[in-house]
Amino acid sequence: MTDPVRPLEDDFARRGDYWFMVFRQFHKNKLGYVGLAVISLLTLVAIFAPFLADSRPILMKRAGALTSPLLSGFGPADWFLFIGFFIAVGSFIAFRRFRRRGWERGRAGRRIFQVTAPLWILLAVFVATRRDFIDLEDYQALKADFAPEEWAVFPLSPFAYDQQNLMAILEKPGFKDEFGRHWLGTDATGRDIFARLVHGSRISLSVGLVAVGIYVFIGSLIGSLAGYFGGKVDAALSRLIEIVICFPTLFLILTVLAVLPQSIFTIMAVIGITNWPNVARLVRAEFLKQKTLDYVSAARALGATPGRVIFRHILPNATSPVFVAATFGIAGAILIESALSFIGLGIPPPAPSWGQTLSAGRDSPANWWLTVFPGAAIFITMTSFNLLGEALRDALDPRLKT
Amino acid sequence: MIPTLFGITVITFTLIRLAPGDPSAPKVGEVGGGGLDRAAFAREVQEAKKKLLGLDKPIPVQYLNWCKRLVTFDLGESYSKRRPVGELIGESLVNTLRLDLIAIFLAYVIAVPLGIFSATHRYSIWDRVSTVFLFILYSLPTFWVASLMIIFLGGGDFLDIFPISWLSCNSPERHFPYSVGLDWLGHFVLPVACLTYPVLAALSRYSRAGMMEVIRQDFIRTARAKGLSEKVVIFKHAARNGMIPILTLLATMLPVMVSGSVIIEYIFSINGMGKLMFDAVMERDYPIVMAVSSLSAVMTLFGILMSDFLYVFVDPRISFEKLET
Repeated sequence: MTDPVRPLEDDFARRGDYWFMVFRQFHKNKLGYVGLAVISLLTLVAIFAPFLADSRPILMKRAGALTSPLLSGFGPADWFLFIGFFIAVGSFIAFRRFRRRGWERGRAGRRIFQVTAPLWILLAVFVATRRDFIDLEDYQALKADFAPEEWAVFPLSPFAYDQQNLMAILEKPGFKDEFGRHWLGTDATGRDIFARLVHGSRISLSVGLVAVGIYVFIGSLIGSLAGYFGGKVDAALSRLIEIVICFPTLFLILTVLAVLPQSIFTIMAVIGITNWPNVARLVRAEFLKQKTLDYVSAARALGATPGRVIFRHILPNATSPVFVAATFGIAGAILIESALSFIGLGIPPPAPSWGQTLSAGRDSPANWWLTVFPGAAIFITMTSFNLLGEALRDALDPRLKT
Repeated sequence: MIPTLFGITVITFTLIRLAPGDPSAPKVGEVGGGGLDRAAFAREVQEAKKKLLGLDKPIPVQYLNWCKRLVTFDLGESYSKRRPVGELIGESLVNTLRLDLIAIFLAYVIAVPLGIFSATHRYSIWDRVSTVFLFILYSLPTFWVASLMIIFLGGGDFLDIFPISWLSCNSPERHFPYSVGLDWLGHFVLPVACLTYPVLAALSRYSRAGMMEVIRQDFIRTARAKGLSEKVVIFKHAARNGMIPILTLLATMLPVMVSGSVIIEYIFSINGMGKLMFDAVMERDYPIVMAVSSLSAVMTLFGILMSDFLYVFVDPRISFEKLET
């Protein structure tokens, strides 16, 4: 039996819900969905990269035993992404179910946190015990002299991203040749470009997310302190913001890269520490606006400490411009990372960064596939994040609210 | 402005010195031999060189010395190129400015009419096409476009129309053998195109948004109501107000472009500011690094200041007195 009052009430409650309105606005924008779809696809590609391009079979029946060379060769990052994905999807489904049951968002979130936190810790412990494993077995050759009852299921494209093949140097893109199929060609050491692009998506997306995470954190902290306290604190922090804005970014990046070891974490950190002023300014402006509102005075009157007012009351209300800036920021961070790799200062080989493949294309202009494909990957990723950012901005912009 | 500049120079000075590598070290290996104790001799040479360059003193003292010389406009001498830094910057700045000014000019010339057109023909097919096209331009990575241009237009396996490096060539086998002017033009096409399109993409969004904002306002309705022709309404009343945002962008854009075109200069081997800075950081050429980063900081600060002034200048409704309150 359905209760006739309940859904109506629910509907009113939902209509007043800020996020519901945002979602409704977002829903109107088809291009935003396209961006979101492409980003989801890229994320899936990044998580399941080994299943798309790797030299090890996913499943193999040999000498009467069923093995999975791919899974047993998983490194820490592979395991983390693989298992983390299922925990995240499980959490999402559980959240939806709790919400449908009528739970508040906070309660559902807490319950999911209680259940998944131990799982994440277990995963972290498990990942910490894993080591990267180098499998020198040539499964292609192995497959050639299989007995009739033996079989192997290979990933979509049976080449690993760091597998050099001197028999297939600078091979043109194609679907048929004697060594297998290099769909997007090979580079100067015979590495498969498709595999490098698929695995490169991990680097690009993780650099984008982590770098933006770093600078959103720094920017929100500094912006909220400056905006909330005002006066001398604001003056000092604003000066700091101004210094970082006027600082020649390239110089900072180059110098920091010279001091710190060249690694993916350095790149993330460098992008993080050079880009926070923008977020800080947005948050500061939002704080200046919000702190005069009644709810802030109410919180203060109730005896809330400045820390509580800032982080529990104002900051949650100041997230929407940061959200939009962060989405565009991911595109920007991916661009910076690939540009740095392009001029040879990015992530050190053999890690398969898109920019790195692109710079290999610069060295051999006759081999167009080295330039066209990785650049297209960067372009598509940036476009979809920009589309998403645009749609989010339209959805979150209070001026458009009717 | 002064404290910001002070902060930037101090941080730059400290950072570049924290970076491993010593400009007095590299050339030492070439000296020695002839029965000398090589190591001792090398050490001696390095000490002497350090003293000569003033690197033997503590870093704060070095910084003060640098400031002292700066007051007399003495930027020092490049360690690696053995020439006054001012001269080197002058040469690079000319190259960079030529490219950037042409690019900015082209971007404005295209962006302003495009913005006006889009805003007046809102949601028409051409508005949509241009919006999508500009959005694509906006997301295209410059270094990819530059690489593609080199491959497909400048050699590679495809067309060979444009030269792909330097800004001019003196050799007889140049691409456009009949005239120096054509040679110049040919060299400028690719880098200028790569510099123009991102600016164009950004500018036309602003100009479209600015126009849309203005067209909605009451004074435009009034202008139409009193019977002015559409041309006058759009170009005289709307456009002048709608273009204020992108006019003020001009002041902040030039500094960014001057210090930000490293990738383009790297790809097309142009001796500009970006390349100068890049090489200087790589070679730990302290005088150049200090000079270029201070210069770009000054330009950025000046640009911000200028854009504030421009605002007041083009829009008398805004005044600083009002902003104070």
